Amino acid sequence: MSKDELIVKLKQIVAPYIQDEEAFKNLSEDTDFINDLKINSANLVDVVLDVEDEFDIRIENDDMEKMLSVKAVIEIINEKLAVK
Amino acid sequence: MIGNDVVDLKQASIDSPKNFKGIRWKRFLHKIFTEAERQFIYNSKNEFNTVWLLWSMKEAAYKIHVRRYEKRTFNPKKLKCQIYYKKRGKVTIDEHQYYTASQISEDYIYTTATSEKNIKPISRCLRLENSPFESQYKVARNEVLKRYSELKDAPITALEIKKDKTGIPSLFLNGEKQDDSLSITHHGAYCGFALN
Repeated sequence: MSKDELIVKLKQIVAPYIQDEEAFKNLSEDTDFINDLKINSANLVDVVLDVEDEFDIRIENDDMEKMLSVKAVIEIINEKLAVK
Repeated sequence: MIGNDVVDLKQASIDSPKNFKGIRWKRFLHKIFTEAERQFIYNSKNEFNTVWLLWSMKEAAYKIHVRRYEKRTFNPKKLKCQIYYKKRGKVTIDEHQYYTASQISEDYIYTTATSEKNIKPISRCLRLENSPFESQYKVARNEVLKRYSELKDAPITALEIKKDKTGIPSLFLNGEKQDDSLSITHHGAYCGFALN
C-alpha cells in the first residue's frame, strides 16, 4: 500500500479521537498524535486496536511504544504487512 | 518530582464507547494492563472505576518518568501498578519507583505521583464549568498561577508557565526558570495541578 493510501486510512481511524480540527485537516507524516491532534492517551489505545482491525495485523507492546506519530504508525503497518 | 492525572469518568465512557463490552474490552485491557493488574480489575467491585484508577496511576507516574528521561514512549504495560491500601500505591517502571495517592469520587479519579515517598505536593483537582477543550488548559494554568503567586509572594503578572518540547510545563518568575516542579492535567469537566 502506498504512503498516501495509508495516510487516508489512518485519517479515518483517528477522526473520532482528535481534539484539534486544524491539525487534523493538515494531517501529514509528521503529525504527532498527542502534541498535534491532542488525542488523549487512552484513545491512543483505541487507535492501536482500530489499526489492528483495519489491517488485520497484531501490534505488540514493543511496537506500540513507538506509535506516537503518523510516520511511526505507517512504518509499523508496513513492517507487519510485509511479513503477513 | 511530581506528576498528576485526572480521569473524568463520564467523559471516559464517552471517549471510548466501543471499549466497554465483550472482546474489545478484553483487548483494551490486554494492551494496557499486566496479568496481575487484570486479575485485580476482574476481582474488583467496579471494573470500570478500577481500570481508570490504575490508568491514572500510570499516567501520573509516566509524567515524572518522561520529565526525568525526556523521552516519550507509549507502553502502559511497562508501568506496573501495585496498590498498598485504599488510595495509596506504587508504580514501577523498569528499576524506578513512583508513589501515588488517589482520590476516587463518583465523577472522577485524581492521582498524584511523586518520585520519593516523603514528597508532599501541593495539589488540587477542580471542576471546570462549561469549558470547551481548547480552554481547559488555560483554566488549569490560571489556577496554578494564583496558587503559585501566593507561594512565591509575587504578583501573577511576574509569573509564567511555558511548556518544553516534550510538553512538560515549567514555572518562570520574572523570566527566570524556577526549580519547582509542576504537572497539569485536564479531562472532560475536571482539571488538576500538582506543584512541588
